Amino acid sequence: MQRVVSVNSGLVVHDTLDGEVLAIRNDTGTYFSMVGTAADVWACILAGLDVVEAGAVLSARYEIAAADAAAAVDSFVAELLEHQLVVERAAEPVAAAPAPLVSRVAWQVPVLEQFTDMQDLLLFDTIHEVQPEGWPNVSGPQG
Amino acid sequence: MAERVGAAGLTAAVVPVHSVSAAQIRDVLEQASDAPCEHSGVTRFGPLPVVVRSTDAGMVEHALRHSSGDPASAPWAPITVHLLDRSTIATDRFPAGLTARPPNSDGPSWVFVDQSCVATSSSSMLWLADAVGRRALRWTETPAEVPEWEAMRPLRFALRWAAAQQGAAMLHCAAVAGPAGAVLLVGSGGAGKSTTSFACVGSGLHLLGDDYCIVEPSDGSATVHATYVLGTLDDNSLTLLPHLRERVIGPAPRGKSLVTLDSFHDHLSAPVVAACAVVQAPGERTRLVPMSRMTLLRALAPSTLVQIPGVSRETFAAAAEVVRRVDTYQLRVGDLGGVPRVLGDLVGLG
Repeated sequence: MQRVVSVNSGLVVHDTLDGEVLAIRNDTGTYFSMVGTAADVWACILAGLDVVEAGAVLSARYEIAAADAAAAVDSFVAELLEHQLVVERAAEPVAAAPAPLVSRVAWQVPVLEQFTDMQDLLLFDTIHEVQPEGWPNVSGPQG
Repeated sequence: MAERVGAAGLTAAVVPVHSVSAAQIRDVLEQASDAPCEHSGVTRFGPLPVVVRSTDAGMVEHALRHSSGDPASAPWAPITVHLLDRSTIATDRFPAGLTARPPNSDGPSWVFVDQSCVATSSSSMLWLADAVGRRALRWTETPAEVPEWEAMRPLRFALRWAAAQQGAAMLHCAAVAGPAGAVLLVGSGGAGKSTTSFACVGSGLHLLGDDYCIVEPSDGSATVHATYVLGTLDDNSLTLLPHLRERVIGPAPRGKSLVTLDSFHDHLSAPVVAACAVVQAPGERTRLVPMSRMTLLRALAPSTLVQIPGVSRETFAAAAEVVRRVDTYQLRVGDLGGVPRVLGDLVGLG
């Protein structure tokens, strides 16, 4: 089974403006920017594609070798998982067509840009969000 | 015991204890509603009428001092906010695990969220809110333990929560208005929002807020509401803007001064025409530089979300909707005297 991830909605808020994705972690204030192919991978995740499907979409769009695209997507998704922006979930058939990609630039390896300047504020007043099933129990990342 | 890495690499110990449910939060709020409170007042924060109740006269007076306007004409449904301490609701009346963080503690704060109830422990306070009953409780051990940032912007958790119920957001921004609309000034603490916005006082522009404003996206546009009647300036800003000393009405925490805004006569709200990220640019002529919407959102959303816990998703969504609907710029502030001219051009005062 191929790896499938979805946005960690219990911990992350996100939006896409003018082809750039902004994702903010509620608990740390750390925010992330994704442009170009990184924004494309994010769009594929939102559309429910698994890692192989996302790699295929990028391979076709950017006319690069499938193996290269798949490796780049896999590595980028691993980074998203590391930062808890996404969580793994069970694979489900995708009924809808893949989301339109937001970028059409030359191929480049997707990059996750991280900003931590909000953490000074959080030293003053640390915030964590938890789910309805418990407080202050912290549940795991939410799918 | 589980462990989790918190902000800035801090490791926060997470001790699994008893769960808290929405029903338990409502039960505490019911206790608050039933508590005998000899002091109360009705006021208005922007579009929101607020009934404030407390056993402590000072708490009510403080909240009313920071707000203004006719509650009867406010467009939103009212909320009731109870400002109580352990003399009214003892700690043992709370569900286990629902405790305020000790003052000056380095431990984490927590937020509980479900569809209608929110609870948070933050800086020695507990905040509970229930959308169904449109009521909230701010609880501290004693009145003296209300933290400084709450004293500077009272009830801001309740205001943000109530705004989210309306599809609006209380954003970390200043706002100035002219005949054609308002400009939001955004940036993290220390970026110069307050000083830049206060530089417009006396120029014909109206200062709607210097730090926090309720902003409401609607019908392809957005409206900013003057929310707090008082702003704060430090001594350095008052040195740069000496004519504002006559507006100082008293001290504020952290060595600042409380300064009256000028928006609460006939300029309670205005359509937003632009948003500007404030950047200090010593030696330059004050000017606007076009900025992408995303860069502006990056300057606005994180500081808004981390400074007020709870309803992050709704607040972020509203912030993004506002940014989509306005022009976005970087405001490079070289000389403060140039600020009214530059912003006046945006809002029809040129």
